[in-house]
Amino acid sequence: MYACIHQTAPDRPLTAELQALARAFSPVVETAGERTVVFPIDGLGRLFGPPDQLAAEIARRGAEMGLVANLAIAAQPDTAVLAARHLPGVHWIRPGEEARSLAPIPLKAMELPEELHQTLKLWGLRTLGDVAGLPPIGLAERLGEEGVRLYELATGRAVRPLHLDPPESRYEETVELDDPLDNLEPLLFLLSRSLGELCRRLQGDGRAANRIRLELGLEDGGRHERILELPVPQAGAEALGKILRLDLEAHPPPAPVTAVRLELRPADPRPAQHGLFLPPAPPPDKLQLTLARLEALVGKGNLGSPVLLDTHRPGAFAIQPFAPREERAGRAAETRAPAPEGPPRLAMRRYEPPLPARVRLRAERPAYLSARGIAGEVADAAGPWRITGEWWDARAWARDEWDVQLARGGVYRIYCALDTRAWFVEGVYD
Amino acid sequence: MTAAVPASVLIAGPRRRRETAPTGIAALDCLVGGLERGAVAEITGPASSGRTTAVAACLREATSRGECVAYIDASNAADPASLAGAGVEFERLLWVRCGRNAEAALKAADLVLHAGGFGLVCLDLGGVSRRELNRIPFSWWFRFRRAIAGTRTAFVVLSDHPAAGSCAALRLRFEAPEPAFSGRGPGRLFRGFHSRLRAEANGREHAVSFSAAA
Repeated sequence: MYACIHQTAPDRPLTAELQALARAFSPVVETAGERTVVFPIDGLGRLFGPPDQLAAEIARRGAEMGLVANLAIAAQPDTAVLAARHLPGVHWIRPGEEARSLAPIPLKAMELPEELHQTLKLWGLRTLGDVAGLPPIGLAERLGEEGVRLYELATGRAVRPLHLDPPESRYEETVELDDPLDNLEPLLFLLSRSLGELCRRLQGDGRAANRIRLELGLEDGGRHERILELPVPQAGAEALGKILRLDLEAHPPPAPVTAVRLELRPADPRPAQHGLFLPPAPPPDKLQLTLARLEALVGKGNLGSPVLLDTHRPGAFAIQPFAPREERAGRAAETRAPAPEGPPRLAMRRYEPPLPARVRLRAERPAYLSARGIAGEVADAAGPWRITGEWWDARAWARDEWDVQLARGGVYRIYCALDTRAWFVEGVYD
Repeated sequence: MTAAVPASVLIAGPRRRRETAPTGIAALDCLVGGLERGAVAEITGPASSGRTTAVAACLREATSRGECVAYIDASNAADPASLAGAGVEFERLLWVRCGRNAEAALKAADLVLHAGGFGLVCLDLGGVSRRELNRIPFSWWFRFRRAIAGTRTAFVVLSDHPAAGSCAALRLRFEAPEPAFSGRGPGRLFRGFHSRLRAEANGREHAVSFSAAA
């Protein structure tokens, strides 16, 4: 037997009270939609008596919590959900009475495909009772699987297991130390033990972690907190431990550690199955570790995917975390951009920051260029191109740009800043 | 029937052809088939010879196939606007800026190659002096070659002077270009350049003309 509670106030989403009410009667609960919970009540007869008394008890506790809801008890979860959603008040649908009890429910209130809705309407069917009165074989012949499913719902014979909500668990470990730790190695040893325990629990629950929060209590009374967001949820203690080690080596605590609190935020693990015909992609767990190592090598903000900023300022870009979306089969053929026609577009190599330069002019055109590592007569030049922007901001720029070819080789983009009249080499075409 | 036995063990047997990935440069793909996967390709040439344009074309081809690519930038020289103009999908591009540190770039390339799964990894050593290139221990190149052997990763090294030696299965040497300007006076425009590149693969050398438009 199953009980279903449907909160009738449409403006209120599924509340913690509704979950708490269901969990007061059963440890396993399914959330069926925004305002509905369904849970098994087998075995509660010894505590509360027959189903009508149990229903009265649930209704009483719900009223104490201030819930406005319908309640239905039935042999199958779908029957209970249908009755709770569409029949106001409290209902106990006895086995064998499903079709009669559900008969008044209008078909238009059910979430059916539009095409099926129209077909049933054309047949003159208005309620679940009308569907229950039809011969099931004829319905299956005409409507296929959807027809069979609708008939089973209408007659209360739809059988399915509950889709249980994951248990609410906190994955955290706290350790108070007798003696302060002033070295990273013993601290990492301690963390690896805690991580091992937390990851074992995570894996047992079929979850993974997408955030590590480490809080270290310091001897001087301070606190050192590190929060590591993981783009790909992971449950491997070894990989998480390496990520934590790299971060702590880059950001060690400023004083000896007296307390450790480690918390993992649970998330659904990403399916690892990769298609046979999909292009190669880095394994997510290995990629995450590699990114952490690269960050330790080149520093934060120096790796990721570039993004062009919405401005005309030359060289404006940002770097965002590298998180390639998962490829799916057939994508290449569907969305592959056509190859550009004609010769490839010339790329530029930038000097960062732009190289200060000395430029000799002849007839107001560059005749000689000299900068660090670059010097020579200008053989040809195109320009000037005046560009200005963001004059309303402190980052305003105004400059005259030239493309110059040196006699000894190389085509460079140079510019003259209009405010200081200083020359710079921005980059080289390559 | 018995298989033909070479007269000497020093005579190389038939070379096994690896899978190739198109570079996006039609003339080059026709001649050498593209970049060999699981092998090192070396692109060298003077400044303004079209090396970076060729690498951007390779990156565009790889990302358009849905592959992830990595660009290890030893001199922070990459221009995102140029890469976007070439059609590189940024979402699949991992850009590692090493801040003019060639040693960090080598270590970063090693990490990326050992992580696996990238369709194309480019190590950009452009701007690194010949002296510094010569100081790179040769074991690095053997290590890179070993890391990608048997994988579907194509590894491209871009530099001003040859550095990878015999570890490179394909060598592309860009020659000094002929810039193209048009117009006169203030209306004069830089249109791009025409260059030639020599592709050396499987013991053969091919000459390919290469153009890029500004």
